Parts: sequence; structure tokens; C-alpha cells
Amino acid sequence: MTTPFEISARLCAGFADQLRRHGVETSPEQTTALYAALHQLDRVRLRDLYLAGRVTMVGAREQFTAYDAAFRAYFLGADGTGATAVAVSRPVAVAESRSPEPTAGTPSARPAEDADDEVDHARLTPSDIQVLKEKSFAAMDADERRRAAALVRTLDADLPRRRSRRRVRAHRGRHLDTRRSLRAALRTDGEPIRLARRRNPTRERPITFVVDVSGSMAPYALAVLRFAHALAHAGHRVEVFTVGVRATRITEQLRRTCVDAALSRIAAAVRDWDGGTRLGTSLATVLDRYGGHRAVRGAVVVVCSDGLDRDDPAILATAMQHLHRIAHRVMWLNPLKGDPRYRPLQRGMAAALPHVDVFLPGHNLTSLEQLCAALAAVRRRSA
Amino acid sequence: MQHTFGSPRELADGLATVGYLADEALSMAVFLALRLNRPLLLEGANGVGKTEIAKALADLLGRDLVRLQCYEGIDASQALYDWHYARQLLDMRASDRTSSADVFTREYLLPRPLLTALETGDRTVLLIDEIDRADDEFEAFLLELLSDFAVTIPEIGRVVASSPPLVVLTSNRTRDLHTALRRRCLYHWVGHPDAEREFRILQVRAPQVPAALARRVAQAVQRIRALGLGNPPGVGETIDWANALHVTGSATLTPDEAAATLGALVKDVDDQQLVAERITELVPTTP
Repeated sequence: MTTPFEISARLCAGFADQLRRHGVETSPEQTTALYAALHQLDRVRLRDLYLAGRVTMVGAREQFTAYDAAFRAYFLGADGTGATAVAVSRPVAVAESRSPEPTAGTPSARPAEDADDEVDHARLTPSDIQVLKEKSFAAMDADERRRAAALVRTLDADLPRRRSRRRVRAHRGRHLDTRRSLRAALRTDGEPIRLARRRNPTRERPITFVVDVSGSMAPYALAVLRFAHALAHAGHRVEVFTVGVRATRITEQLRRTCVDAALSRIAAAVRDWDGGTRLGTSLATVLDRYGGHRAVRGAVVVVCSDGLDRDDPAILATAMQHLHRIAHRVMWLNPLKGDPRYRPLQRGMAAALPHVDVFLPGHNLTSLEQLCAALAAVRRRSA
Repeated sequence: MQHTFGSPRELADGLATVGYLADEALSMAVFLALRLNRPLLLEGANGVGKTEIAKALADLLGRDLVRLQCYEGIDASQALYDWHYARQLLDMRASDRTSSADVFTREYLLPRPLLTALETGDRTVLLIDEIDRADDEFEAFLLELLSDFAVTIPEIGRVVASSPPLVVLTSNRTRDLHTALRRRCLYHWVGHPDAEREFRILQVRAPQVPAALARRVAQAVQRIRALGLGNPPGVGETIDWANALHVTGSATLTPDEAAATLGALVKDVDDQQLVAERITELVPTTP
């Protein structure tokens, strides 16, 4: 059976448009490729159309589901002609309508307040800042949270580095740069007088945050996400996963320049805000999908969770053991540790602790500063 | 020798003659890559036969396989070309001082895989293996090659392929590839084969293994992959395992033999433990 569609440029362009509405970004050259591809096939069955479209228009496996949805909407739409696609609301629009009344834990866009941050910061006296730094994120009111957010933005970390395998030009270095030496020798009648050098530079290791977004963690999770955003925009390589009921990679959403816009995008992407916790399972999912990825292997991984887990602690223990083997350093931020009487006795936390290099509270600004100091210490030790 | 294939199905049949069993989606991807002259980006887990596709294609099309294994820090002098410095230096000093000897010409150039592939054009299949292991800088360097089948050597100029080679890139996803690279390629995700296809692969790649054993191996491997191991076995490991069982004289698969030869299939101690614990359900004694 051949498709009832006429293979036209309009059809391809319309499909590309449909894909974009489903969040699959396509370029004109990809649309051209689809058009050319369909003309290479003799009798285009619907299945061929599907496969050729996927091979030309999609660049990553993660987008296959969105592609399937776009394909169904466009080619198998309600009227069946394919000329008019079923109206699909943008995923962003859906997300915005989900939470009309932002709660304390759910991030939302507040651009108006964002503009005031710098002014506020200037008004704070040193003793105000000290009080704010010691205050737990959970105990802050809206005003304090905003001021704290401005302070989080000023934090920066000195991340551990590793030696790169790439050789770059340098004044001094252990490797000879034959090409440049020869170039220089040409000027001196073929006599190599000055030898050019290359050396291996060092590269910063990526830092990866695994943030628990279950209900009890909401205020702390927000602060850590702000911190991750600040690091990303200070030029570090930052990856962020949220765990809770399920694991979500939110690195892309965090790329937004405005932190509040980034957080509202994250809120849309993460479905389990304020949900329960299946820490072990969702951490294992992250490792399963990204275990070989540079976001985890050889990276500094910071887990931010209170360790209250509904899963069997053995799952968390196995996942943490695996993580500890492949990551460069594993750090754990547990806001409960902010209380001096706290002992890591819950089964989840106790199971994870043997596989953690640095254990910090992360419940207030001071402890985020401690995290920065700990990162710098790791760098000194590994250098 | 230049082959033309009229449809993805013909191409799949062709690949089967050189011992590669491609599914519908893969043959469509390869067919379009050949017809549209676009590079083909293959992603997938370890050991699903991404590299084998390029080898099989070279075999089928009667082309040479030029392989570039990527690693961190790979640069133009290892991937594209290098100058023959010793010759340049000698000729520079030996040449008559009054004549102007140009030592930056083609004859002083040492071609590396990418340049070789460009110069031979459609007589080659260029395999850029594990592109995710190279760094971002190298990826950027490939963009010109992938979109125009050309590279620029500063001293000589632009080298354009007379006819575009078939380019196959593979990635294990240890790093996110840049969208600019993805957009220039056709994309296909290579998954693990199902039991039936894996059985047929075993028959092609390990013909000495009896069919009954091969079928049970394929079924057992399906169940083992479903366990969610840290490193699920690939097709290569399945073939190794079937061979190992055959060499030890097994005519059929029993839990004991499976456990004894597990090292050929599962190559991580934690995973092995997990499989060993459940060996009786994974490898039932009655077929």
C-alpha cells in the first residue's frame, strides 16, 4: 500500500513545523533531506515515510517519542488528509497551566523580583548577610529567600582538574611542536634555532548535581538548583539530574540565562516535585543511562538528599557503590545534618554513607560555601 | 565495482549475503545515506554491531574501509594529514640556495585516514569510530568534512572529494554530541536484536554451532538482557558464548554449563553474580 499523501515540499515543511511544535528542533537542511529522501523511494508506504522521516529529521534517541507523536498528529490526524494537523498545545504552555498558584516549594517565574536582587544586596549590612547565611533555607520567608538567591549567585567553586590528552602550543612544554619549529626554521635557512613546544593543558572536571525533589527537600533543592545555575553561568561544566519518583535530566533547562526562567522550565520538565522518594531506583536509573557518560564517569558528583527513601536500602547501597567507583569524587548534601543532633541512622543514609567522600549539610548559605571549600580541597589533593 | 540498490529491502538482502542481518529501520538509514550522500550517525549500546555495519558495507560495496578510531586529544595531524618533516628539512637544506624550494606541497604530505578517504572518494567507506571519545574541538573540525566532503589545509588549499565517500560515524554516548554534527548526519539508533534475529545472526556468524543450541542461547541472552545488568551483553558476546558452549562439547544449554561458561557472556563480577543467582530461571532445563 502506498501513502495517500502527495510528496510535496509543502508536506515536508508542514511536517517539520509539526515536529517543532512537539519540541523536536529541525533545520531547513534536514527538511530538504527528507524531501530528497522521499524521492529516492519508489513506492512510499506509510512505514517508509515514518522511517525516512525519523532518519532525516531526528538527531537523538530521546526525541523518538516526540517524533512518534508528531508523526501521528500530522499524518494520521483526525481528518486523515494530513493537510491540517491536529492542534497540539506547546509543552511549555501545558506546564504553565499546571500550576496557576505557585506554592512555596514549586519554582515559578518572578522576573519583577529578579530585577530587584542587586539593589537588595547593596542594602544588606554585613551582619544581615551573616544572619542570612546561617539561616536554614527552609526557615526563610519569601523576602529572605530572594536575598539568599542573590548571594548564591556570588558563589563560585574551584573545581578539580585533570590533564587533557590534547596538546596545545606553549612557550614551555615537554612535547616538540615539529610543525611550528620547521616553520620557524624556514626563516633561518633551514636551521632550527628555536624549538617550539606543546604541552598537555589541564581541564576542569564536570560537576554533576543529583537533586532530590521530594516534598521534604523542596526549599533546599531550590537553593541547590540556584547554586548549580550560578556555577553553570560562571563557565563550569555542570550537569543536573533530579531524582524523586523518577530521574530527569534537566541540564538543558538550566542553560537559560535568567535563573527564574530556568527554574520554571525545570518545574515543567520535572513531574515529581513534592512527590515521594524512590531515591535508590531513580539514582540507579541515572547510572544506568549515564554511567558511561562524562557527566558521571570521572566527574565530581554531588548528591543532595535527606536520605529518606521508600526503596529497599540495598538498592541505594548498590547504586552508590557503583557511583563511587566511576565518579572522581562523591559528595552528599543532607540538610538534616544542619541540626547538630542529627545522626545518619535512617537506613537509606546509612547504606549510602560508606560510599561518600564528603558529607555536608547544604541547608544554608554557609554550608554551600563549605561545599565550595571542599571542592577546592579535592582539587588541591588531586593536583 | 559500483552497486546500486533500488530499495531498502534490496540493500538488506545484499547485507545478508555478506553476513550482516539488518532490520528494516537500519536498512532504510543505510539506503538513504547512500542515495543522499549524507553521513550516517549510528548510536547504540556497546556491542550491538555498529562498527560491523561499516565493515559489512565496505564488503558489500566492494570498497576499502578506512577507519579512524577516535580518542581524546586526536587532532588534525593524526586524523587528516601531517607533513613529512624529515624530508622537508633535508630537501630544504640540500636544495640549491638560489632556487626557491617549496616544501609545502602535496608530495611532502603524509595522508591520514580522513585525507585518504577524501582522495579516494566513492571507492571507500570511511568509518569514524567512537566519535564521542574525541573532544569538542575535534568534532568542530569534522563539520566541514561532513557537510561538504572537503577539508582545508592552510598551506595547500581546499581538498574536495571528487565523489563523496560513504561516511559512517559511531557513538557510544559517553558525551553529548553537538547538534551541529547531528544535523549534518542521518541518524539511527542501533538496539539489541530480538531473539529471532539474534538466532539468525548466530547461524550466520557461528555456523558450526548446532541450531538447537543457538536458539536456546539466543533465548537465554534475551532473558539475561532483561535483568538490567550494568553491562548487558552485546551480540559479539552472544557469539562468543555460543562458541564457548560448542567448544566445551555442549549439545544443548543446561544451567551448569551456562554458569561454567558465563565469563564469555557477562564481563562484570557484579553482573555475573546476579546472573548466577538466577541461572535456573534464565536457563530452564526443559526447553
